[in-house]
Amino acid sequence: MKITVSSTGLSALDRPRMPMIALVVFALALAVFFVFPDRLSLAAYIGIFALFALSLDLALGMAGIVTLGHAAFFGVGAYTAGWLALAGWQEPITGVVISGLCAAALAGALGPFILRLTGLPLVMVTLAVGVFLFEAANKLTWLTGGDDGLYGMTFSPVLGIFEWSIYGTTDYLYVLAWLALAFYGCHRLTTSNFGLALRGVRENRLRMSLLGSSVLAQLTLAYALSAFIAGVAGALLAQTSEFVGLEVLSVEKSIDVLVILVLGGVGHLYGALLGAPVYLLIKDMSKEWNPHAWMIIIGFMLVFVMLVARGGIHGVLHKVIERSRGKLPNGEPR
Amino acid sequence: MEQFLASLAFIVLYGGTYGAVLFIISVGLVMTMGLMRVPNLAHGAFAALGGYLTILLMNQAGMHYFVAVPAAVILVAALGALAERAIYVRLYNIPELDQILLTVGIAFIFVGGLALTFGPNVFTIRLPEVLSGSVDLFGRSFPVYRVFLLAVGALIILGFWLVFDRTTLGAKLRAAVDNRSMAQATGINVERIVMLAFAAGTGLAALGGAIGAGLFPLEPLYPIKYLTIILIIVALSGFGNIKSSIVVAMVVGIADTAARYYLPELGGFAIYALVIAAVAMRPAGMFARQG
Amino acid sequence: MFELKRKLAAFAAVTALVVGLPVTAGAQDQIKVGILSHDTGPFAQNGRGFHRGIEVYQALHGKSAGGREIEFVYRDIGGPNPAVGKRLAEELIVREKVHILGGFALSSEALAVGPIVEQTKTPAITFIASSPSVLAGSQYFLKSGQHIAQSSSAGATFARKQGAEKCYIVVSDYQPGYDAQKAFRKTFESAGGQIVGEVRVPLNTVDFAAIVEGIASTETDCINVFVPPGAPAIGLLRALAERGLVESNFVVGMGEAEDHILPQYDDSVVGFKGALYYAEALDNEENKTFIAKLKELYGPDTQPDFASASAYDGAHLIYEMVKSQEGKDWSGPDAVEAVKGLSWNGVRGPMKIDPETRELVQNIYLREVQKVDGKLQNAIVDQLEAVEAPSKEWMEN
Repeated sequence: MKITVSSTGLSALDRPRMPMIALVVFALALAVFFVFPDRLSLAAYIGIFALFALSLDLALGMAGIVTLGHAAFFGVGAYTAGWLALAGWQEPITGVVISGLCAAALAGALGPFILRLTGLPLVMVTLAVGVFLFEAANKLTWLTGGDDGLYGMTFSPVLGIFEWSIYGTTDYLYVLAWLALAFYGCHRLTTSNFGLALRGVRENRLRMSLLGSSVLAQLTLAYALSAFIAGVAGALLAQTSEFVGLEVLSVEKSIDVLVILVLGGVGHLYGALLGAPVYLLIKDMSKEWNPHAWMIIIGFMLVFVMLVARGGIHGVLHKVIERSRGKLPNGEPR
Repeated sequence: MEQFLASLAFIVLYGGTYGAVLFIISVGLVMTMGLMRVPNLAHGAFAALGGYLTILLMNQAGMHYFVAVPAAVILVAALGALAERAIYVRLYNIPELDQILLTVGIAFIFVGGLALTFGPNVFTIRLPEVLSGSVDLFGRSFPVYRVFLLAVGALIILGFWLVFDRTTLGAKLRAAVDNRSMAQATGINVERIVMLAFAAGTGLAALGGAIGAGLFPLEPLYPIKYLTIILIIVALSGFGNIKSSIVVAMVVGIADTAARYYLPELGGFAIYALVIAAVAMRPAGMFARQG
Repeated sequence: MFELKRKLAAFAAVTALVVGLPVTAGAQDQIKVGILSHDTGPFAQNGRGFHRGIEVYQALHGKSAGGREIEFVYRDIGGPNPAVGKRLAEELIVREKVHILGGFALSSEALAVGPIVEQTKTPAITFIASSPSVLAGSQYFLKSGQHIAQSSSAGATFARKQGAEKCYIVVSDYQPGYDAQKAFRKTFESAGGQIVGEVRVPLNTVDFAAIVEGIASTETDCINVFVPPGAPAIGLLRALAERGLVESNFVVGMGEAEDHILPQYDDSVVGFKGALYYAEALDNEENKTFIAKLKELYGPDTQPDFASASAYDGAHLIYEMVKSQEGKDWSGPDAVEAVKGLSWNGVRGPMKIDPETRELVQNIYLREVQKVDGKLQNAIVDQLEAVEAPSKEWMEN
């Protein structure tokens, strides 16, 4: 079975510039801080999922690794951050880095075995690994707290200055800083030679291996980098909620993050930044109208994106912008 | 020894019935995978719909169980044919990831719709008198319901064999699975065959959802809750191999029952370890020829 | 970088001022109660019970108490997701400025929210969360549900009372299951019974026949079960009944066969027993009024369950807390202090808040599924009065 990832990904020639969208998104994100000071908990939560989706974009959009088990790394990051704090290591920033490294180590160990696969077998194995970890965490109650969760942890103030509070001020800015940093890193990565090589792998694995490129090693490295960021996102969730529940490892989380990324647009990095707020805000707001409506709305959005608006929100925005600049004649499919 | 034989008989019979239901629910997806290469993650939704429709027909229209089940199957099959023409036909040439997401979207719509319509309760389907007793088989009592499941499973396997090996439709179907463009070139109306196969697959899922409700109770989250186990059958069958899916479903049913009997607390793990090992080593399916 | 840091610190300081201080409002005339509920996902039945219990209470007792109007605000967690629970709790406190929290279907939610409850001194009432560690999360936590061992241990006591000697324990393989298993085992053994087998069933189990086969091959006269209501409960009970074990054993569980789930079973479930703090059949004034109003509001087929009963009794506790602060500036800690030791008649019968542990002292009823006039229903066949929650030490050893 050949690798086929969303055709909406960028081609190797179409190198992403650090464009307006990113600046606009981050400016908006900063504005949120002042305009909605009473909704920062939600905003921080959205930031964490944007980061998680960004990590998936590295694996999926850049390297073509289709996975239904990315929550494994998110969860490992979250639990590591929790364990560190419970063991007395309460400094948050180093905690996040260590958690990311643990997630990356897991990906590095798994990669050589599972990244030989492509297509549906890969999807199945990542799914099974995810479920396996979830079941293990449920059983190892002495380690994870099982269904009750891991609780009783506290973290020291960020940089020794910013105290955590229920208003989510520190939480939000802290998450936003990590997101900006990760976004910048990912952007640099995709434009590097390594990023180009990965795009080559994604588009034609055989050709790249004939060119003498060690495909498996490159994929594993990309997988580990992606897992690092997923682990960072998980650690941020643990630190902002001072709690780790089993759900961080659940299949639903893996599906959620995939949906977020696809709604936003795969392969552009911005997709993650756009998809997370749209998905989570719809979920949050539609519930006030009818609790069951959000699943139906998200369902229809997915169908719509796949059939009509290929490329997700980013794709649509891109088309609108290009069209207004007159670069694309009307109606021409991109 | 007698004790051992008794437990063996139990494992084979009960595991067999569990496997039979798994087979009925999953085989439609195996077919779609083989014929259209579409991983239809909304497959479980059709099974749930079959079950819910049966309840509706029994409670609202006052139908008997044996009338309501076929009626629900036919309705869902018709809906399947419609869905194939309206939506799935657009999926055949798009990348795998997009297929996955689109069908997840359809599953989401079903989950929300079922919750809105039927509420969050768990439902089972009341069995008719004939199916609720028990019979003596192999020196022990065995619920009639289980025998019924086994019999339906056997009938469907027989039906598959007849259609595949004895009819021209089956020959065309096999041709379409093996090489679609070649089949098209020889004048086979592949589109029609695909639609029929999809309708049959969703109808079978509905049948599994309806008669299997005693094992898989109906709830709005059904389409997502049982997705993993359905996908496991599909993956182990080699993504599209119907014959091996019969064996795989039986093996999974029996192995799962045996694991839960002998090592109940590891039963939750065993199946995933098996999948990881099996798919990683033989991505083409457990019974595929190597190479 | 340093410049940025200073600016950020300034931002944080400014917003803290904009957002305002913790809920310290004066003698305002409205008390807001935030309910962490489940309107979607696998626990939606509990959420529906929360809504109904509270709405029935308000319909019967009005929407104000102690000179203050009481308003309930609901949030849907939507599945096993304590991180979302914590975020919604923060939102309820920061944005909705609620004075009291309620709900909590899962113990993990209460444990996640604990630190905020402690930090903001917001009284919080857990309707269902029954893990032994819930109340330790904050001194402002109260319960209107139970401590899991109250029902579990009572089940063991009932079994011994009926002469059960050899018991097999089946629980779901997760933390609440472990707690229930331990409490039952300890009580049953210390009462002179013998545990002949124990099994933890994975939560993803679909076909319970194999588990039940293992029990059937053991000599037992009693089976204790604890699985979550819904598909696992139905699956396990049907498998037990199919094998004839419900008939031949004293099978005791907790909330697996609530009256509103009974239509999903056939007659083979007759004889199944559940030990719990509530029963629809309870013959007391409060319960009769509660059920009558419930049926009036939601239709004659509506049946109460432990979720709606807990929410109703929880609403009463909330009203009592508000009353205690009549004419004073609202103070969460004072309100909690005021209801410690409170005793009243709830829909579940007499109940009391133990002033030391904040756990409830309440009756535990033994309910048995019987067939009356062609309809399955739970009848109360025995009861233990004023059951206290066990100590932390008891649970741990």
